[in-house]
Amino acid sequence: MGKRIAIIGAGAVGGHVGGHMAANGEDIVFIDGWPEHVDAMNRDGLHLTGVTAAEEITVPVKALHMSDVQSLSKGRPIDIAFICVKSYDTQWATHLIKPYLAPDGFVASLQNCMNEEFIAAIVGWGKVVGCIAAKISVELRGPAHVNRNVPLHGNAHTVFRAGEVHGEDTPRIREVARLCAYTDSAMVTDNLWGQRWSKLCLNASGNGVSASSGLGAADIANDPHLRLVKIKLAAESIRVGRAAGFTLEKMAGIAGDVYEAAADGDAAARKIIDDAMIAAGQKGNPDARPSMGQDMAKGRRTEIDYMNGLVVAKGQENGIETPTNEGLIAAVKKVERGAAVADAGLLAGL
Amino acid sequence: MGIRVAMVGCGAVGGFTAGHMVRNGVDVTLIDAWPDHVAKMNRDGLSLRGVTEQESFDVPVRAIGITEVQNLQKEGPFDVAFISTKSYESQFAASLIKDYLAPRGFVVSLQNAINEERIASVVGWHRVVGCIASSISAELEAPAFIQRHVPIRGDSYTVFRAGEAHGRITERVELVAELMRHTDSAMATRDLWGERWSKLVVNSSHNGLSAATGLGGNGMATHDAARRVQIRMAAESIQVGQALGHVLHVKKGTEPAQWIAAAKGDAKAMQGIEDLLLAEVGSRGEGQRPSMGQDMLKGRKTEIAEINGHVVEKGAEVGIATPLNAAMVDLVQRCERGEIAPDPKNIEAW
Repeated sequence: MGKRIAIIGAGAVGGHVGGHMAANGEDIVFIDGWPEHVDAMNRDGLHLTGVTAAEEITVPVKALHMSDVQSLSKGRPIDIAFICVKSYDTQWATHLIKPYLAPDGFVASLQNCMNEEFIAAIVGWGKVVGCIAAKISVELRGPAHVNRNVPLHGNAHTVFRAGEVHGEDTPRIREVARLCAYTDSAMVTDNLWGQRWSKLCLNASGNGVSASSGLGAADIANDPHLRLVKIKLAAESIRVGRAAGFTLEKMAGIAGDVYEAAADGDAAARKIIDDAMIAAGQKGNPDARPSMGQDMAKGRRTEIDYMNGLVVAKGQENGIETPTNEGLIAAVKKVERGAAVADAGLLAGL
Repeated sequence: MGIRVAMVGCGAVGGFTAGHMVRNGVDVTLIDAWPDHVAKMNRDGLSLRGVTEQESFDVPVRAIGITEVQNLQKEGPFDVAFISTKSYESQFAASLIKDYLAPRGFVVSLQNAINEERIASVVGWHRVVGCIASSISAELEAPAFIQRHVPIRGDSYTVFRAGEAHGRITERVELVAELMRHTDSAMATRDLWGERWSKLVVNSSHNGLSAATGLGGNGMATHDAARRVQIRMAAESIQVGQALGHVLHVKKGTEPAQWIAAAKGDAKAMQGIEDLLLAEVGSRGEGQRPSMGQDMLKGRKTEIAEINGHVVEKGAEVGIATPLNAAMVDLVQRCERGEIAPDPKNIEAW
């Protein structure tokens, strides 16, 4: 008998990845809190679209409202629970699914940020694995409709990196990678923490700047002060990650040392990063906004507490100061609460 | 009063008490996972029915679903968050509301079983208050429609007992009692634990038994084996409660020691309690059945793990054997999964 899989949070990533698993015959149950979305999935199937017509599929799926999760007690227990909710919903989502896990079942965080520790606090470290989805660029367009905004990456870029917290190659982590490979390229990583933190550095330096300034990628890249703010955010995050013992990867092709040197005033290092940022700003969609900018536009709560907030928290644990991250959090929260309009001026003092 | 109240879980007890608070001008946000219930409450208000016309009314309320909870961060935080979900959803509910509590805000477990410890594991002991709803007999019969089956008790019997874990009477438990008084009689208690465990003794003795046998209140009293199993299960729960240091109140006209003696083979003690149980048959409607018996009929997950399972778990902590409670957990879970049907035969050999 195959594994029984639950997807908690059938949003952009959960819906997209779970939909591909279901289309390939895996035993999937979706759980989501948006009533219209659940009803549409059950009625019409999950509609997945991409940049080419060949990527378009409609998959019949089974989805549960939150109030129907208790019905899982009647069936086979859940072998793998993918948590795909926003980071701030991680704990309740874990509590929600915990009673229905098989004795050897486990939870996979298929989320942004670094939530394995929060999940472990609830189910124990032995039942947690992580899976990064890098550059997947998916979006929940409406009830039961997930669109992917970028082509399949395939061999050019490995989208999914599944890892045990201890880094060993295990049958269950291979199973997670196998399930993700229905969607796009996937691998097992022996450096989950390092990869998570490297992605967090990137997000911590970009996401909140976009959300609080209201600017798109091109405008940010062309503003010298905002570039410096991004460099400082990245350098603080990198320092914290190193102090926490993580093995970090290059960020946008540039080593962490260069960010730290640039933040400390090294002109040569600064030029390397400035040039790279300006070049990147000229490529791609000038109005592209990271997830936090989307959240802000939709009036949703952002993941700032779990992104830059985690940098600050881990900084305190490890004795590293993070004033730029703290300043950014304050700016984002002002905009979030409606106490200020998104504007680059909010970051002037950073 | 100027305080903001959240009701997490608006079923029978939560919906009924929230509706009464709203009618009396309290600012209450109702949060529930059942989409149809939330939609109907917002569209047509909450319909509460009592046994008399005066107790029946409709009240407009503000209800939100689970996905909308993240939007609460834009509003003022909650001073009081009631949790009125099933016990197995306690940690889920506490995690869900935690981020939206005021700095001095607190959580009230307005539930069956003993969930203060579970909630404290999420929000900390300093933020937990308990409130027992005793003999309220309300039922969510349809979306936005709650029926109470017994008259207002008023001075004849105190329905709500709010207490601190440490037993001191504080301003905040007085506040909880005041909020509950909009529904029926309420008091602040100095002995939350003793009251909770006394109620657990009753629930553990017949709630799972009803689910596993299909018998109602009268059926369990008149069936010889079921009647005696109730007494012996209660005796296990009493012993565990006493070992934990709680002061227990058992059925009027008996003492805890009599139940323990009855279970140990004292025929006279057993006969005395059996006579009391048989004498109650006339005072109860034929259709009456405890909540788990109702859950089983509706195909819902029961609270067996949090009621009899709690007795077993705490028994292990204090070294008291609880074989009947353990067997009941197993039996009810098999019925829940549909492996066997509820039948009095299931316990005849006990």
